[in-house]
Amino acid sequence: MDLVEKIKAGDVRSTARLISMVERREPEAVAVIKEIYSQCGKAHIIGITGPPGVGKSCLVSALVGSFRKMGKSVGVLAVDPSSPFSGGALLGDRARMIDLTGDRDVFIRSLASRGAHGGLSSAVNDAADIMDVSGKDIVLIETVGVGQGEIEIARLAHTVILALMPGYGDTLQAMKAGIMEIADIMVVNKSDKPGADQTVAELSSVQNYKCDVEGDHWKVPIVKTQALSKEGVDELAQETVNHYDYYKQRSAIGIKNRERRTTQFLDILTLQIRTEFLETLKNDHSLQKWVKMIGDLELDPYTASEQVVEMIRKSR
Amino acid sequence: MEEKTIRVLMAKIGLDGHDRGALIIVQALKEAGMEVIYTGLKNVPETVAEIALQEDVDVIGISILSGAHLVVVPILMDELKKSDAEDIPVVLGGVLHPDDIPKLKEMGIKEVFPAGSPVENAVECIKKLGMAGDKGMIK
Ligand SMILES: Nc1nc2c(ncn2[C@@H]2O[C@H](COP(=O)(O)OP(=O)(O)OP(=O)(O)O)[C@@H](O)[C@H]2O)c(=O)[nH]1
Ligand SMILES: [Mg+2]
Repeated sequence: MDLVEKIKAGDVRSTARLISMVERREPEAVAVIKEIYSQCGKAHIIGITGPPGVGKSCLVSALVGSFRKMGKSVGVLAVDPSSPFSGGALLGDRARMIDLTGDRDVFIRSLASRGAHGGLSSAVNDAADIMDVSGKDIVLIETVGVGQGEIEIARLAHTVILALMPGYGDTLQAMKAGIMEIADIMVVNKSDKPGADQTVAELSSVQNYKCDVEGDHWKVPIVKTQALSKEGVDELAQETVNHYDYYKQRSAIGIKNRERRTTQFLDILTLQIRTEFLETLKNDHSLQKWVKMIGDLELDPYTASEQVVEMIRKSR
Repeated sequence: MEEKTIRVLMAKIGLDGHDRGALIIVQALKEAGMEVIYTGLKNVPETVAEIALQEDVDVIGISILSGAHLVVVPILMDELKKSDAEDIPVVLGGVLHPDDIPKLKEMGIKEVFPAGSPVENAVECIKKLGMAGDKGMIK
């Protein structure tokens, strides 16, 4: 059986290895992505983001349980940060998902953010496609905390869940990070803790409508959950289905997919152009001249950059 | 294309509820630039094999403090074999009698680190095993 067939047949080891290889951007793996690309688009991709420790991994674990009850197979991509110092990482999300082992219709993969230019979103995109083609009905992506990079990851999902917990700071933090605007569903987890209703009230006061579909809007629901006891989690799962159906009924899933693929394409193109241009510059001795002039304050970096672009343009 | 990053699964098997030793190793591996999948307490051999496969790890490290290693290891090795993954090297740490070391190696454990072994030794060994493994497409 060739690799693509094996992946479609749900062979765990081949699928897992292919994900490692796309993480390293190996040409062999890129070739497989090219081959499977046209078969993507069957899975419902759900992103879950929120501040560290809010209970994202526990929510993912409980959500997978709810989806399994609906008879859906699930792939999970759980991202944890890499150390900027050693490059190593402690991937601990999975420790919260131990209940899910032993089910062949659940595939969990931990990814380290590895932190290079758009590298993570590229790997997550490919890994999501691989899970999609391997036949998973749902792909759940857990991002690292809240921040700009996380928004990029969340953008590849059809449905974005923002998880918060009782306490004022988080709401404000989420607003500052600009993550409120991309949430399709908001969750107040740890609602067993005091202040949950207040947080819900706070969120409802800033609650938004998403207007991706022309002349229509999606009202962002706020769901209270307790990930450990699973209270509210079935309801959350149902809301994600409702959200997906909302787009499907309006034949608007294409809008979401096109957004994702445009971003992905621009990321890939940017990376390729950067690699190509920097290669040209490295082989060009005149670059040294610019660097020296900038360092000696004889030329400002803006003018230098314009000159370099002009030079490349002419050389074509 | 990026260079290989070694991925290690650290699993504690058994019902005794503490994992200080395992966590010290986890931290040391991370500082040595490896990606460590940590699965918490209370794993059983069947889940360890499943996780190792899904995570495509280069090395499996297991920690057993309960003294049940001679029972647990054959089950784990069997599970790996069933999944066609017996090529993933397994190292073991924990409380054990020195007499058991040759028996464990016989069962297929690559290296044993009895409680009190220097952390650096384990890190060095795991790194070496991780580098040696094949990272190409599964044929
Ligand atoms: N009281 C309470 N604790 C919870 C609940 N959900 C999760 N926790 C606890 O919150 C802690 C963090 O949970 P995780 O699921 O690891 O949180 P996370 O958001 O994935 O954390 P990072 O991945 O590190 O950002 C754990 O100790 C959980 O036991 C809940 O509903 N109520
Ligand atoms: Mg987590």
